[in-house]
Amino acid sequence: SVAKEVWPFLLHLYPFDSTFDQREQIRHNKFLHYQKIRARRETAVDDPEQAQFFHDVEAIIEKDVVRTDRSHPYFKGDDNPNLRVMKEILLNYAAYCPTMGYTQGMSDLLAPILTIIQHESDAFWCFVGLMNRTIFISTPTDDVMEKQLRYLRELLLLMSPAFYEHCAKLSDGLDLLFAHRWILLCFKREFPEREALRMWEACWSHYQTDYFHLFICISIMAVYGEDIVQQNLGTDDMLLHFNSLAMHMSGSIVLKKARSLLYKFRLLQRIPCCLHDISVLAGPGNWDSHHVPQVYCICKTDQEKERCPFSGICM
Amino acid sequence: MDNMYSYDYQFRLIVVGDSTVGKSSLLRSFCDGVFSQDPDPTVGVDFNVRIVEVKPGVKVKLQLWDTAGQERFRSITRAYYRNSVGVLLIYDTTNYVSFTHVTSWLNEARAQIQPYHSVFLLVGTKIDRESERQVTTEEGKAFADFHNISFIETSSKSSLYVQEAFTMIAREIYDMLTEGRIHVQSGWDGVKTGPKSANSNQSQPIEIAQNVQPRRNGCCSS
Repeated sequence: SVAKEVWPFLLHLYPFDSTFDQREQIRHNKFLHYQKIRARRETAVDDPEQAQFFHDVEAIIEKDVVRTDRSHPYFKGDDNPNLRVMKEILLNYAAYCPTMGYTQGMSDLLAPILTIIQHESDAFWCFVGLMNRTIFISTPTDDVMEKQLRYLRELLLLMSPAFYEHCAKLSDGLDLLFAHRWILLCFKREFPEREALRMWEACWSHYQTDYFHLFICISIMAVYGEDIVQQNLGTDDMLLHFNSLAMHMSGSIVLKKARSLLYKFRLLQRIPCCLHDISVLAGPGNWDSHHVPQVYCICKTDQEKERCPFSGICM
Repeated sequence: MDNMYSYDYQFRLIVVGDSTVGKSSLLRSFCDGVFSQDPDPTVGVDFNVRIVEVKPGVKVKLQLWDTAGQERFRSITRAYYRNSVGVLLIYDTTNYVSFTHVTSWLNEARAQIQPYHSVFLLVGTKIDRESERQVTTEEGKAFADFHNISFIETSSKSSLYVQEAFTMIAREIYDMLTEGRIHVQSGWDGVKTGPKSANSNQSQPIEIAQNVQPRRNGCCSS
C-alpha cells in the first residue's frame, strides 16, 4: 500500500527531499543503530539498577502486547510472531528513551505502524519519530497533557462558544474528560481503523497547524455535541454520550468539519496569545497568503503576564 | 411509572487496582453480561451504568468508573476519587504481586477521598483459574478484616459472584445512607437522589442549595 511508502516520510525517518539511494543508506544505518540499541539493552542486565528498570518495563509491556489489537488479522491467533516483534520494539524504545520508558497507550500507537510498515527496524524508527517528533502525541506527563487541554479549551471558546459555555457552567466540565482518550490514542478507539489512520496522516502533515488533532476534537464536539447543549447534559452524561458514540461516528464528516474549522481559524483577524504557538512547526505555510492575525493577551495572573510576549496588547 | 430510567439514588463507584487484574472485565461482565479474553488496555477513563435493587422497591443507579491501572494523570484521578462514594479494590487471585499492591491503592484512595466518607470492597478476580491461584481466600479475608472492609472473590469469565460483589457494596452504601452516616450533598457527586424521588423529602438538600443561590446576588462575589 502507499501508506507503507509514505509513513516513513511523515514520521521523519526520511527527509522529504531525499533520493532513493539516500533513503536506502538511511535505512541501512538505522538498521545498524537499532541492532546496537538492542545489544546495549541485552547487556544492561549486568547493572542491577538497569536490570530492575527493564524487569519492570518488560512486565507491563508483556501484559499489554497480548491485548492490543488482537482482533486485527496481523496480530490474531496464539503465538503470533508479530506480538514478539511488538514487544521487542517497545522494549528497545524504553532502552533508547529511558525517560519515556513505557506507558500504557504506546502499544496502541505502535500497532498500526507495525501493521503498515511490517519491518522491525523501520517500524521502530517510525515509532521513534511518532513519539519524539510529533506534537499530536501527548507524552504521558501531566504538564504535556495539560498543555493540550489548555489549547483545546481556548480553541473551543473561540470556535464553539456555546459548547464552551455549557462546559464552563458545570463542575469539572472544562476538564473535558471525554476528550482525554481522543488525545491520548489519537482517535484510535473512536473511529474504525481506516478512518482513524486517515486522521493520523492528516495530523502528521502539519498542514497549516501543528495541532490539527485539536481541530478534530472540536469538530467531534461540533458535529456530535449539539444534543449535549440542548439537553443540558452534565459532566458524567457528556462522557457517557461520547463513549457510546465511539466507533459509531463518521470519520469523513468529522474530518471535513475539522478542515473547515481550521479554515475559519485562519481567517480570524485576532487570536489570543495562548493560541499563538499552535502553528509554529507548520512553518510559513500558515497565513502566508492571508493576513497575519493580531495577537492579543488574555493572561490573568501577573506571573503569566510577565512571561507573555504579547502582554499589554488587549483585544 | 417504573422504567429503566427511574431510580431512587445514584451511587458513584470507582474501580482501582493493578494493570490486568481484570477491572474492565469485571465491569463488562456486570453491565453487559459478556466476557472477552483480551480487552484493550483502558486508557483515560471509561464508565458504565447499571441499576440494581438494594432492597425490594429501592433502585440504585450505579455509575461505575473504570480507571487505567497505570494512570498517568494524577490531577484527573483525584477528581474521580473525590466524587466516589465507593471503591472496589481489585486484585488478581492468580497474581500475588497485584495483591501486595492493594495496600497502596487503599491508601491512595483514602487520602484522595477525604473529607468525604467512602465504602471499600476488596475483590479478588479470576477464581475460575483455580490451579493458578497464588492468593488464598484466607489471605484476602484476613486483609479485608484487618482494614475492616468487605471482601468477595469473583470470576468475570464464569460470571461467578460478579452480581453479588456490586450488590454487596451498593447495599452497604445504602445502609450507611439510611443510618445517616453518608449524606447527599450538593457539590459532591458520590451520592445523588434519582428523578423518581424528585418529590420526596430526599431531594431537599438540592432544593435548599438552589434556594441559597439568589442570596449571593447581593454580595460582592458577582
